[in-house]
Amino acid sequence: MALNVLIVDDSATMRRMVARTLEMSGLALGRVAEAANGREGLEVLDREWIDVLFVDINMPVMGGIEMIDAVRARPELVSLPIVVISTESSQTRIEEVRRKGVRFVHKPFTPECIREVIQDLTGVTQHAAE
Amino acid sequence: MQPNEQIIARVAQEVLETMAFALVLPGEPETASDGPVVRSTVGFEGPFCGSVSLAVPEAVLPELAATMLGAEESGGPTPEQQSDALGELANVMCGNLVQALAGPEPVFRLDAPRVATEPETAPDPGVRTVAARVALENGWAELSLAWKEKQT
Repeated sequence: MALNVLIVDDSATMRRMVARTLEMSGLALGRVAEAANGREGLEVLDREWIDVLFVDINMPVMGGIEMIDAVRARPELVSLPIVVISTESSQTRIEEVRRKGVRFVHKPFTPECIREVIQDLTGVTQHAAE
Repeated sequence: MQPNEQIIARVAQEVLETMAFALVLPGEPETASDGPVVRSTVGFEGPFCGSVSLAVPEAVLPELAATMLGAEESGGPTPEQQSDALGELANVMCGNLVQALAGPEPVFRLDAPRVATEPETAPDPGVRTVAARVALENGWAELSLAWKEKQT
């Protein structure tokens, strides 16, 4: 099963880096969709099937926390696996994020770390070469 | 808070190796002139306030950005992508450095990275600075911390 992922980050560079790390993780990827803020991300979720959502916290227009709350408020997306990727280092803040039922990955991150998180969230273990 | 060159060098090395897939060499980099330098600065506020700057020779940045973005074979990253890449590195280094210095609980607010080719300006009175330079295969990178203790 190839995973469709959505990367939401206001930095095009960071979106590219997350996509590159996903490619390097060895997992079979389908479509890699991108959005520059939470509102654009919700629009992508309205029209595409996404298996895993990667989202930053601090973004203009709509931040990551607001987007996660909006996603969880939609019955059809209530169980969508969500990974927050951030430089946030405060354990208090990180616990607040985790209580929303999402995984937290701290920057910098490795392909191995991303692979482990996705496998844990989705159960998908198939690699791109298989 | 006890910032020192070892902590700063460790953060710089970890982020460069993980995000930019750069090989950080042991020992001091060569001190020969490397031409113009490009610098990204990220301001922060929290239990202590200041800024973190990452500087690299301008000639090093294209390759650094290319490996970060996977753009080695597509004509290389644009100047804008190179600046953004340096800014992201500085942003992550800033977040990791303030955590390394302040511990896991305090909350810091980080500004958006600023990228410039001008030399670093002299710090304001009362601002302390520590910097560490690490050697790369094709040059060097210098991470510096400028901070001011909050008055209580």
